[in-house]
Amino acid sequence: MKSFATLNVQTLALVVAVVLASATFASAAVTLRTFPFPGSELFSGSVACAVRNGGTGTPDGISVKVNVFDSDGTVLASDQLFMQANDADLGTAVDLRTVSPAMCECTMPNDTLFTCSLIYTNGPIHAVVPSQ
Amino acid sequence: MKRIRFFFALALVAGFAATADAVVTIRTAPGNPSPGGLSQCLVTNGGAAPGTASLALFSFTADKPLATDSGLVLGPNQSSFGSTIVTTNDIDTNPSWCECTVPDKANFRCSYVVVSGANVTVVPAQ
Repeated sequence: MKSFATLNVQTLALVVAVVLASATFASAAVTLRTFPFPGSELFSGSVACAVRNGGTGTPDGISVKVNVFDSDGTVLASDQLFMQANDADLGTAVDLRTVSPAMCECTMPNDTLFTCSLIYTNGPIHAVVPSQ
Repeated sequence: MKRIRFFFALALVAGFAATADAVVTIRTAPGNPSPGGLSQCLVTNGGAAPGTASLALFSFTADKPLATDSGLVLGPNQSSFGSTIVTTNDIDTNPSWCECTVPDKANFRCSYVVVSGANVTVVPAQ
């Protein structure tokens, strides 16, 4: 009986190919999340998720879903946005007087042309929290 | 026999992939905030499973953290806040950066934040 140590190159290559193929398939749509934001420490202004498409579009737009969460994991706002070529769109803004947003989550076709951020606006104050 | 070897190799590769998701420590870039604000470390779990995180807030020159928070259990899409430290004029005690130990980098995010009135600074950890 052959031992497992005799694993041949073809078998290993086949396995690696299968794993890589499944990984590629799994990454067809990606979910990006912003770094945590201290919404509970702020009592005025608003927060919204923003998405940018740096690539091409389709006649009906490319669908992207964005959610704003608070620190308990509750969805404060949810939007489906349809992105044109070289387009940026905002989701629904939530009011810091009434809720405490903590992060944005964006599900999009890829993370090379698309990206996502959490935007805080309060009068002249403007802060952008990127996603990863 | 070929089938057995195939699954053995598959398990081997999957094992490597799983190892890549082991507990990780990520850190923010340093800041030097103005006095009078509030700073803290924040962590978010964007995954589907609960996880435990630890946070440490450091100053510029102190050898040990100004504040630590361990055993923070985060459910899916939950965020947790570390201890709050008031920013000062003293560079030895002024909070500057965060170190976060999280189950994985794929689902967890960490940041160092300073809030001063309505002004907010968020520094991501990588």
